[in-house]
Amino acid sequence: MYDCKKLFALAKKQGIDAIELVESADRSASISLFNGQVDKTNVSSNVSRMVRALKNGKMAYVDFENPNEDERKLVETLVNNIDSIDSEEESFIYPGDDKYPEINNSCDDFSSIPTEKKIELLKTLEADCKKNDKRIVAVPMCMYNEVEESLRMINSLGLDICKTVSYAYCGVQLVAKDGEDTNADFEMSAGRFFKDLVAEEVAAKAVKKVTDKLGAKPCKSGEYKVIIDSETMSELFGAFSVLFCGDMAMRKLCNYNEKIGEKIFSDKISVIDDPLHPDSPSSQPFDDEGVACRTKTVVENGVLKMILHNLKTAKYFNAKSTGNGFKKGGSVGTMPCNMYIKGGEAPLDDMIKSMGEGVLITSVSGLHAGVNPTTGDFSLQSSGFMIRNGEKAEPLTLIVLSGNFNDVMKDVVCVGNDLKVDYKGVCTPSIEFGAIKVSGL
Amino acid sequence: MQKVLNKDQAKEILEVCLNTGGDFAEIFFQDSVSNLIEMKGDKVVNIVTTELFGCSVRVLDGAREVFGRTNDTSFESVMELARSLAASIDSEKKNIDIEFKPNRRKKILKPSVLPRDLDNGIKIGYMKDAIGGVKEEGEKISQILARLSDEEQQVYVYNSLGKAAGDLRSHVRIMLTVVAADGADKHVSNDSVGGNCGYEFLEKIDLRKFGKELAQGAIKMLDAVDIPGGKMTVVIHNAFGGVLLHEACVHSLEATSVAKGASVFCGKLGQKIAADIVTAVDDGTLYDDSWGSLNMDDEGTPTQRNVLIENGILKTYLVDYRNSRLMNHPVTGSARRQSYKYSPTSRMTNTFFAPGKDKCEDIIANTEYGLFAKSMGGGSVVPATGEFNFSVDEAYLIENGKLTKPVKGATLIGSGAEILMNIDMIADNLDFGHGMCGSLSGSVPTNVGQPTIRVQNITVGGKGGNA
Repeated sequence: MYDCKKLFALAKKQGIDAIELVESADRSASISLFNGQVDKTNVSSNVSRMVRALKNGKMAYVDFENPNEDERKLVETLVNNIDSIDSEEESFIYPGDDKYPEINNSCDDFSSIPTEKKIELLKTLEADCKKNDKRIVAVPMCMYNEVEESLRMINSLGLDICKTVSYAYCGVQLVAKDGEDTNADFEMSAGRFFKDLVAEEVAAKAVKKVTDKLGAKPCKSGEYKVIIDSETMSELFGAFSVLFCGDMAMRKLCNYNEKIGEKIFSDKISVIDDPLHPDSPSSQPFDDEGVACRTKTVVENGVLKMILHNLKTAKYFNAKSTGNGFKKGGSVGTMPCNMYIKGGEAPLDDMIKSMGEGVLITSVSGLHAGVNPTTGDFSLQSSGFMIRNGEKAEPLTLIVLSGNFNDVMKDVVCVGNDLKVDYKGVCTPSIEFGAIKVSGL
Repeated sequence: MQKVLNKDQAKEILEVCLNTGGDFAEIFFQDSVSNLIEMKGDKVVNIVTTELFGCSVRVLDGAREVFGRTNDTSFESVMELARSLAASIDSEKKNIDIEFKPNRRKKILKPSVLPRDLDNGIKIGYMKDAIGGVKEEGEKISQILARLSDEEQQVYVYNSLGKAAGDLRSHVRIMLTVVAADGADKHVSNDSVGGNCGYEFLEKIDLRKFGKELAQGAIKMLDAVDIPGGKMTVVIHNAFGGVLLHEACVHSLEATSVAKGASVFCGKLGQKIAADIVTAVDDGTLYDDSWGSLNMDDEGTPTQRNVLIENGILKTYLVDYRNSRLMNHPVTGSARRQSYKYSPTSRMTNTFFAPGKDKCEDIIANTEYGLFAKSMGGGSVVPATGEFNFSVDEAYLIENGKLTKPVKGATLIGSGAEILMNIDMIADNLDFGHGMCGSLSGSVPTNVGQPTIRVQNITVGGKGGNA
């Protein structure tokens, strides 16, 4: 651990009101396989440190990795940066909560699992993909990765807390070809235990995903009844989850803060943010400001109950931190943690049957560019299937799904029962919408 | 900047890397400081300083790679890492002599005013210039967010081929987000200017004009109607419009996808992949538009001008050292990584369509009905299928050869192989836009560029119309 006593004492001398050091150590190891041979191995261990200091309600950050960093230089940079801030928005360093929740983070010690077993997993994964279907022409990526992270947070107000997280994942990318038709897709599995990674299951899913859409074509442009499957809906809802974030509201990039108590979605939609969820590897006892995490109902039967806060946005909106102060891009922002839409009753197959005619969307691309949370508009390259007579019919690709998030979330016909809270951070079941524009031919 | 391993120590470590039969080894060291200043309206709201410090070691046995990293850069610690990496290789020892050779290439980029030379006040002054330009556009601007990022990145590469090379990169960039609002109508516009250069670069730019033009575009878009979806002729304006080339084509020319048979352009060298009028270049040596430029790539290879497509014929892929072994293709000075934490792979630098002979005005005048995509957002591609997408920030309908109403919500999609064949006009107004490109080796600064071009038959997605 970096010598924080010396750092804290020096900071106090230089007129800093409070100071905090967060030291994170991570170890990761990955293996990639290509054509039956180990192609790449990667072992990494890193310690990174973040120090943040508060003076007159203003805060500056320095991230550093050099274990011999001079504390005088650190304090000088912090003071210089604080003195350049002239915003009235008040920041805080937190003395800590009386109690923190217990998180079920039992996991394997992945480093003690023999490398041969991990290579074996990848060999099975790659071989199964190739063996199950002759149309699989390339497996450009077949990889395993394990990650162990530990974090300790110490501040001059007496806080001293730690947390650890450990998980592994494996993934495979496939290219399938049938005549002139080519398709590529990716599938992965993650868990806190090595046994959670089942090569045969990942391979079967990946092969089905990539071959099902061979021969896909665009459909006619028009307005369709649309089901978005669980995985894709999770990504779309994830891209718009910033709408619930206090920092977005504070920057006036969204206005959900003005809609608390109003009906914003269909009454079939309830949204929970549950950083303590037992099934997710990203569960957390406290956020990056040391505030205890807790389970919250964000939307109840369509009515917005709250937005998510860190200490700064909470003060700005005269609320309490919800324990969602997570670091993004250097400083602490607001982020959901295991946010999900509550599952309904219908299995996806029944939803398809009862919809009769329409479009099933099973992937979207370009989420970093094709969604605009400020206006709610989205326009996304998609692929999926036509639904005819209540059954999955021909595959679709090179179509664009366009709508407004706030409008389509009011137009929910049915919520599926296939919610799975996992590593994705934001998870939803499959959802059927009344009408969405699809552009194609 | 902290002193790093000397040549003798580096040589000793590389020798240990090769002890177990590896045939190539490399040490990459990085010491960098970056600053991010964020403003909201007139006020500075946040300042973050980030220092990265560490090194990575890589050993190859044929095309097999073993990679590791540490941020304890002492000789003992890097040696220990070298030993542990060598332990996972078990081949016949190759007896490679390592002799560091002098570097003869002159540096193209020499930043003069480095980030460390300026205090925050002066940097904030540049941001205020840009914000001032936005404010001149008046009450319809409801929010202005400005970010200034700078980075001084010192890197050193030592490898068993005798390379011992260092480089100082200095990236300076100002990014603006403006929100225009009129009642319930809102439009968000983003743009940035930057270079691999010192702060002297910002002195050459009219930041007020940059802010003003961004604001004017956002305000115009308040009147935009949703575009109806379908296939259309699209005129893509210059500068950041080059994201089309970046996404639709050049990602699929990177060895990352080509070496493993995951690109639509595999095995197509020497073949026609684009219309005759298309010439496309990736040039890491540009001086004036230097956001993607480098003196050397992250394997220590000097950057170069790579003509990717010449008059429609595919001439080269973008290839790093490891993939050059898999592909039997020369390296192209294209190995890049976000930081020492990543193993390098083939990436773009400044990628653009060479200028043609048409005039931008003539292209529009010659188009009966279509979309004029004036400013583009980001996009993505799956290289194996070539299917790409990107979003359009500011766009207008072309009707009878004239720009008519502003339209919003357009996303362009298609397949790279088809689009390249469908380019039928190219203007003479080449310009560049600045972006960050994400791929296997992290996020790196890349310039995209092009003159105004016209493409037939692109699928445009949008929620307008009554279809």
